[in-house]
Amino acid sequence: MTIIETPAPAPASLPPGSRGRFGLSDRGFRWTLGAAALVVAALAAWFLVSIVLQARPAFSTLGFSWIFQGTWDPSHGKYGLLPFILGTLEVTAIAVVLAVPIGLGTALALAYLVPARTRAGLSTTVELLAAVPSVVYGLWGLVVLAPVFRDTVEPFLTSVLGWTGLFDGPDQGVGLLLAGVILFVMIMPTMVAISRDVLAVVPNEQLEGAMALGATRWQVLRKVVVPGARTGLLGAFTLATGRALGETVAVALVIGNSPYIAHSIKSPAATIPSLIVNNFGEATGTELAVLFAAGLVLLVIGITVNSVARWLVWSTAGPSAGAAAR
Amino acid sequence: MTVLADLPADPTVERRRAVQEAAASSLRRRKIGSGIALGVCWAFLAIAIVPLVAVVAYVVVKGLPAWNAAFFTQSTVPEGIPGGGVWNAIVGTIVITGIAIAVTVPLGLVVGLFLAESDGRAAASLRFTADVMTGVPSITVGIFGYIAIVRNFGYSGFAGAFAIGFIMLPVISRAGETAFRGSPPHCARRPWPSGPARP
Repeated sequence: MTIIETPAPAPASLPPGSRGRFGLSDRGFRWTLGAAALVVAALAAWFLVSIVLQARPAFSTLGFSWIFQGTWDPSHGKYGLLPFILGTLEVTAIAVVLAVPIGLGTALALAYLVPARTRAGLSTTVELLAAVPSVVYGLWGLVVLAPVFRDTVEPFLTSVLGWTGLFDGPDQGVGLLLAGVILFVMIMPTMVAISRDVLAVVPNEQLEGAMALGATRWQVLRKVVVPGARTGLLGAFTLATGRALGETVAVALVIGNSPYIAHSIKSPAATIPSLIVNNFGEATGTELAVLFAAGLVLLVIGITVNSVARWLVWSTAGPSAGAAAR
Repeated sequence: MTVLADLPADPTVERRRAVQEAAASSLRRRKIGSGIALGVCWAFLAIAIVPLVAVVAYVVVKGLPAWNAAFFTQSTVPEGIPGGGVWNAIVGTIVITGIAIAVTVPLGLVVGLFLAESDGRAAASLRFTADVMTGVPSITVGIFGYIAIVRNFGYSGFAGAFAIGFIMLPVISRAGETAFRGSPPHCARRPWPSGPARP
């Protein structure tokens, strides 16, 4: 819900001279509000400053080049972060590539195709599934899905798509592909629940207008409903992407945790969160600082994705871009 | 267009029929396309629902037999020793979540009220801060909790509640803002003489 447009400022239907709904006289109340707001701002600043301070030894002793080096070998003082950055991005990409079309189709079906009687039940089910803890998805992936992937899915994909070179290497079950699929399953409920809400509020008059012009049901969905809800849809996709980027436990369980750059979509790999959670317990000194710095890198990636999405929302919501878009 | 190009000799009737046929074939084509696309939507719905239901069903089928009185009333025992339960974990979850809720819900709602009542630059930047905080990966919040609490006071349930609260606070604030903006001004101003008892 974060990126979905902020409601317009409250209409100023106030008598002249007053500063807000509560007026000037209620100064104590306004102070309370301001103090609470300051607490949030202070927390955010404390968060950022403490992580930067704790990560600083990593940068002062190792410089910055280690972030883009490919070898992770703490016992020999090599702290290449590249395998983990790539792993994070690859797993997220797999999850998002699966989740965007399937999530959109599911949300459309839930909002407009499913009969009204079953709609409420199905929608509630999807929302409840958003509350399933991620460790449950991870365990299910490890115990149930990993053998299926090793024995059935990966051999099949290799035989069909092996020529692309993406599916080289042995079928191991755990790895990038399984982690991406588990993330896809995990972010699905969030994405569908938000997308369905924003799709369902497209004004009925617009739908009826398109139908009156002879549009088929699909044409109505594609040319009226989806464009009308695109801002909210982008918000849903961003929130889901953010979840995928930062997911720790579910990914750590099924990705295989190998500190090498994956040469195939089936290879075991690792992400920044899984690196941190697997090494945090024993890390000391420089390695601990490196883990803090890795968290900082993840934070930068997350905020970049978030900002790009906000910019996209902002630019598509603008009148000129909106008219040019379709 | 091609239909109009090679019109038959007799204008009116033939022309009308040709146009009707063109429209009918267009409709047929669009209906087939629509049917295929809607079928894909249905298939996606199935793809989305099946694994989700499978996860829950698997957990219920495998987990339910393990439920007994001891599971809910005894603490976890070391590995290898039979028996024991997860009572300690249940209490821990309730206590940590309870502390986080007790602190962040009132605080977050007040912040939400601030965001709903102010339109200035401070509110805008705070709104942005809250949005960015919502998108922060949870593992970095864990690192923050470690640095801020664990390093100074050791591992504790309070450290867990602190980290969880940090994740909850921006969500509650923004949701609270949306809710407060929804209340019409005349309702919001009515209790003004008696203070902010009913925002």
